[in-house]
Amino acid sequence: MTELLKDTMDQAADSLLAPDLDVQAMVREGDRRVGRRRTAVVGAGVAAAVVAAIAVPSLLPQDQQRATEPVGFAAVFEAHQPSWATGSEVHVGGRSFDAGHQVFAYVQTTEGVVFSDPSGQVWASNGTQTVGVGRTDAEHPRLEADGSRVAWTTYGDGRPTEFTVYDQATGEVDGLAAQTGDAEVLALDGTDVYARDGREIVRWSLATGTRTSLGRPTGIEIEDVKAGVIAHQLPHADDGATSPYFGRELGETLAPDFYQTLALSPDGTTALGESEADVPALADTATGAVTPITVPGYGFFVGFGWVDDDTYVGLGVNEPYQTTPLDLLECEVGGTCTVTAEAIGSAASGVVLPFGQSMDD
Amino acid sequence: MPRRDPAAFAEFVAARSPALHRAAYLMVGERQLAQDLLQESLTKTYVAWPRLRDHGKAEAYTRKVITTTAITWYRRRSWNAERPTESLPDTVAGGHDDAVTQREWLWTALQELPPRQRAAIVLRFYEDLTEAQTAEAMDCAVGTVKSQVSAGLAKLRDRLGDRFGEHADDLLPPTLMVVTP
Repeated sequence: MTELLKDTMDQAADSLLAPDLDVQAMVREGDRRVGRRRTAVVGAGVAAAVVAAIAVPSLLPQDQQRATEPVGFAAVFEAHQPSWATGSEVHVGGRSFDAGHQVFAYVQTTEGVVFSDPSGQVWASNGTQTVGVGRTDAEHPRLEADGSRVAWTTYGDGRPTEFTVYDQATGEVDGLAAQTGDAEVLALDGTDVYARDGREIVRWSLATGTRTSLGRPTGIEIEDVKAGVIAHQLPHADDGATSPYFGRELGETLAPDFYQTLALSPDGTTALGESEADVPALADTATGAVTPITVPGYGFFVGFGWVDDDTYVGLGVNEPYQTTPLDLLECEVGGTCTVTAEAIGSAASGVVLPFGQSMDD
Repeated sequence: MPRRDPAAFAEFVAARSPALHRAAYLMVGERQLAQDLLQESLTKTYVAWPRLRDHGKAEAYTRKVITTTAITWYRRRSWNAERPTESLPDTVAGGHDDAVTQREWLWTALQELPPRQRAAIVLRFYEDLTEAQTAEAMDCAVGTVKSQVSAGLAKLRDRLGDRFGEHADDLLPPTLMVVTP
């Protein structure tokens, strides 16, 4: 008789006709959700302390341009005020400036913005001056920022792939040749660059000039690194799915109720991210404990960066998500959120946020 | 960087959706709702596709999403008060009247269980998952699986007891026997 339960369920399940599913709708909706999330994934913390560079710098190209806004923006960038871009215009602190080139992907630093244009040229602008500082992948750029520095991968043109770091405070550029052509900068933490070089995860210290291997853990994804804390995903041995971890070493603290990290706080103690897709949450990186984020008044909210160790920024939007103007918000950990910029534009109108990747990626 | 591959995803849907659909149906007990649940769960799987390194194992991820989404939907929609209970299709081959009646009652009782208990029972007895695999699919501890299965079976036994009296105990596996590791 112990088979009765199973027989009953088998009988019910076997009576079903094939499901009428719409795969195209899944893909469309999935892409829309990814787009909404990425709209907010501001890359790397804009608030960590600036550490003096000791690496030997190379000189920058001299193709400098004057931006159209003559008034300095140093104070607003130093204060980590939220920014966004439309076309070649960068908006921050209630003002805007023309960076001289279309902003395709960008990050915000303590000095200004560093961005790639649609041709893959990398530019740095402090609001009054725009400087060409390098090249990266045109279609899929990945810029990582911390303090005044920005890191990216320089590809090709017959030369080896190189990890590149630009310090916007000093104008210094440093580079390290990758050992394989399949390499990519993953995160920047002070003077440490985390990158994938083939299957190997490496840490390149600008301070000491050393390259340290962190091993070849299959399927690992580094999401962010701040104050030595590495937010990463490790694959399960059995089913290929991944789980989020935090720690100074890989695989240290599991956060079973977390989904993914979008940005670590500057002190590395708190991860801003999601407990499941499109559900915003914070995670304690020491314990893995998750705290939900609730922001009344918005159908969708996602936190995407940090002002300081206790304050994060995010965007809120209501349906229809593609066409409704976005609000930028500032939120206290464990507290409430306030709107810092209202109706900045919609995803469909070409708003670009500083997460370091293409809005279409 | 891992990319989403719609063609590979569509291949996965074509291959695995019938089995996933059956599990979804057992969890919600309603055909249209099961289809909606599967559509939503597969959409979430597509979002997570780049993280599912081994696409052949994406089924486990989707099963987990089906389970947790079904439980979430239940909490939001108060299905107990709103949803109809579908009758069991009368397709028993060679079954006599008692067997048909017992299955009908058991199916109805299964649909009246709280969603977490129902999910635990479906995963353990229909999907034949281990307790650890069931815990993974339900996003909970193994101890929770044990308690949910135990409570679910106890309720089924009580429900069937109203109809079959003392014989109800013989119709279902004893709790302690079914939660062996």
